Amino acid sequence: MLEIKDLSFNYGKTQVFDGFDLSVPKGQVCLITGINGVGKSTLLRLIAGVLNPDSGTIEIDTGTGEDPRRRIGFISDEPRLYQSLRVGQAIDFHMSANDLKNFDDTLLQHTKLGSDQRIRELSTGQKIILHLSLILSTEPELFLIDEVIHSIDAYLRRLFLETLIQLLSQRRITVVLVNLNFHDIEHIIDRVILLKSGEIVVDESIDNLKAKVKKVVGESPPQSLDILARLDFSGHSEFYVYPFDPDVAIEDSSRIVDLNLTEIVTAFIGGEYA
Amino acid sequence: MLKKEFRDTAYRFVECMLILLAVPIAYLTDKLLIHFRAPFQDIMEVVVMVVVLGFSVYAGATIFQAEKKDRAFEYLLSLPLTRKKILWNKLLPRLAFILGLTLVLFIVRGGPPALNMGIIMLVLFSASVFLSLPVDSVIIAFLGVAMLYYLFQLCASMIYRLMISLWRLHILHYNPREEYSSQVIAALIVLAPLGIAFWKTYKNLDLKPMRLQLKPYLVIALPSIVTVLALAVFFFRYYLSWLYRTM
Repeated sequence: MLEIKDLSFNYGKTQVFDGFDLSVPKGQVCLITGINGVGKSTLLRLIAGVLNPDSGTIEIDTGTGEDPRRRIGFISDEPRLYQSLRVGQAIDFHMSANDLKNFDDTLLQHTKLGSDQRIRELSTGQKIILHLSLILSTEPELFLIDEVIHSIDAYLRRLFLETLIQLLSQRRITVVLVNLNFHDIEHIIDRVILLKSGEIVVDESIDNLKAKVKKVVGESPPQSLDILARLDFSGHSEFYVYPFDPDVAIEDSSRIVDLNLTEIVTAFIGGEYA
Repeated sequence: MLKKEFRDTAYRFVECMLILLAVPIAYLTDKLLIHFRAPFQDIMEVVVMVVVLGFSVYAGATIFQAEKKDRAFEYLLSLPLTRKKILWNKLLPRLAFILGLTLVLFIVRGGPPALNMGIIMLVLFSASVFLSLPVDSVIIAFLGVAMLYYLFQLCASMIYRLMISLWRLHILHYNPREEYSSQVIAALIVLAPLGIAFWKTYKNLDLKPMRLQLKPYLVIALPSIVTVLALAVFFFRYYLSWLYRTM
């Protein structure tokens, strides 16, 4: 579905990617994470075609043979629609740019958006839902979502995620999303990619990752296990280990704790800052 | 998209038309305070010229204003539209307004002045479009276009004199063919490098900071304009002495 080969990209003197490769099969929900400024959003923009790579290729096979952008839905970290347009005009604009006629406004009805409202008057959440409904009208095969989920209120967030889950269950769309908070989306993710200095340092299915990253609570660090991060408390310490090996013996006084995705990624990112 | 661009262009046109409010104000000021006794028609003519030429620059300089102001380049470039189609959709309504204004001038003032104004409007519009990528401020765009227009007039005037001299025509006679062709050649000399730089930048345009995308302007447009300016200055004194001789 998505094939990135030998990608290089820089912002002036700042090299973001150099020989980067990534392959995402159809129907996979892939989470890209990492510390701020590591290139997560840049990668999504490169895939969306709004940034041009310096070298390398990004191939997107939507199975239709047409301009891949017709089947890519891209929502950036901040909605950037034309602010001066009214909602109705923005819909007209989007439909004509995509050569489409029928717009399904079901999603907009949930948000009570009027077609006469100017986009600049909408809240961030409303803009995101409007953008989402515009994207849905094009029936995307590849959906790129850049950290928008947590910048909207609980109701709109639920609406956004319900729509996404519905889309995933109805059609085998591919989703690449960038996020730093995973509480709401953990159950839809298939694969986790952690970026560091423009390179992939972790690339695991979510189940593998959960099996490989554990927290060991004890007084001393577990022997023969690599420690990602360490937190010290009075009387005990927490050691985040990766890769965890169940065959390695640990002290009797220590216990192993399973982690959720937020804790796992926090451990990786915390390890980078340490 | 075309609909949006027509709406934007009409909005810019209305903004420029507001300058027409200056006509009654100037007329009344003259009548009541200055007593210069300028006829209403003369004031009207000057203000209309300002509106028409101002619109040409304003329409070109603001061609990407919505994208820059709303940071909507990201949205626009993510749509399945080629760069060529985007540009065409933006140029078409603006050119239609310029053509419309030229037709109005043609009806009001007749052929040659309207054609002359049409050429000038196109030169100003092209220059402002070509400057729209590197220049964000409309005021700086106006200054840049004014400088380019001055260079264009200087070149056109010298080419015209050269043609008169080569074809052995009389300087005081009206030579429309030489006048228009000198304007076209001058426009090509002044605007072609800028146009090439614009197109090279525009066809690869992405979300990188604009300063990182302006290499064609630095490599092609700037040296060309400096060269044309230097040549114009160099030949200017020969031109002046020749002018005195032929007059």
